[in-house]
Amino acid sequence: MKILHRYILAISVFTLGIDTTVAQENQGIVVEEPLETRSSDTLVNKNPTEKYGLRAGIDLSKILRSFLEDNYEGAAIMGDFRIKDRYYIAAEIGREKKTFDEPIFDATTQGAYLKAGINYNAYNNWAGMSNLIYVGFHLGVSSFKTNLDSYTIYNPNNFFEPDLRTVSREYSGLNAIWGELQLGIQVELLNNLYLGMNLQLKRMLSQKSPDDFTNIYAPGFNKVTFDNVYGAGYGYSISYLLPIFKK
Amino acid sequence: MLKNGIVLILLIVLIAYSCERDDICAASTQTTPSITIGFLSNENAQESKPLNITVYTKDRSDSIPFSSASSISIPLRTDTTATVFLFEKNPNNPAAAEDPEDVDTLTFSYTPQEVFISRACGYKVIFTNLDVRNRAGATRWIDDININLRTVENEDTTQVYISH
Repeated sequence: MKILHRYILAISVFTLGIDTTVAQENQGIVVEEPLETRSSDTLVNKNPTEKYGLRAGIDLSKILRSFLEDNYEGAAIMGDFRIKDRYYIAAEIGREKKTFDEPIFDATTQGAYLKAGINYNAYNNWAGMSNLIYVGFHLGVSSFKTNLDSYTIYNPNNFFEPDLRTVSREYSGLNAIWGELQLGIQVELLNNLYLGMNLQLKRMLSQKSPDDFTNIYAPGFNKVTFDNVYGAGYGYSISYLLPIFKK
Repeated sequence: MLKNGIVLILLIVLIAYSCERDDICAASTQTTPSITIGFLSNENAQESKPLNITVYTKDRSDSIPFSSASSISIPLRTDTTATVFLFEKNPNNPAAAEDPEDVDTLTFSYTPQEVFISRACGYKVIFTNLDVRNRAGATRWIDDININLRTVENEDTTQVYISH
């Protein structure tokens, strides 16, 4: 998983490299034009136009996983807004439903979540480009319910047949709050159309879990492990930038 | 540009197939306990007295043999309020010096209580209000049954003592 992500990072840097090559080629073409325009081109480079606006998109990975995985359904929309040169306010709203068919229990968790925070763009763009390699601090809240359908009493002694109990317990009004560190990229594929990827490291801050069961999953947070407050996730998005003004 | 896009879409597919780690229930976790039965001498209640014994289910479909055991651990049914066992002393030995092959029927009755442990271990059952009744065989080999603890929640304590 870690290696795969590293590979993706390498690919994305590579992708950015190609973008910059394209940009250089364009500049190469400009150089061939008469000298007068060349000086104005240098001027543009010194004061490049930067697009400010609302970038809105959808989460591709959740849609894809909904198709590929039998026990997962999810969708999310996200957006960011550039507030300062390198700073963006970002938010994401989504819902997820995840079923666990485990040897000791069958349960489904479903609910909605909201994440919001600040992204900092650490990437130095070439003139006229607006790609991002960013780090973000987000706060996530999630409200959900869990349905426990059946469970088997854990017994290390298998002398008697397993004690499988079919129930239909609903634990509603559950919630979770967590802090999230995001590392991601946004690559402008076409004019104003961006492909984004991010890796999320989370720390659970508080959660309301059932009295006689536990939180197994929190929408937006991902899998909740029993005595570990840390979690991880990822996202892929396609989004469109609505330029509002240029600087 | 388009080629990059295709590479990225392929990566997305790869990622979507990635697996998740499952928690494992640690062996040291106290889960559903077995009942521990100690065997004492009928002459001196302080002295443990080992024996050869086979414990059968009520219908004799399954059994657990113990040899020269002064203490045994056997599971209780978690889905009912009583478990019946046939306790056969000196199995396959009709010529034993003391208590030749003989069967007593013991009924363990209790209140099963479900307790949630953790995500990895799920639920366990502990047993309270323990009681034991003996329907003796042709020649009763169990002289006395003493309940030391009426709650079975771990395997550290001997809950029942049988003197023979």
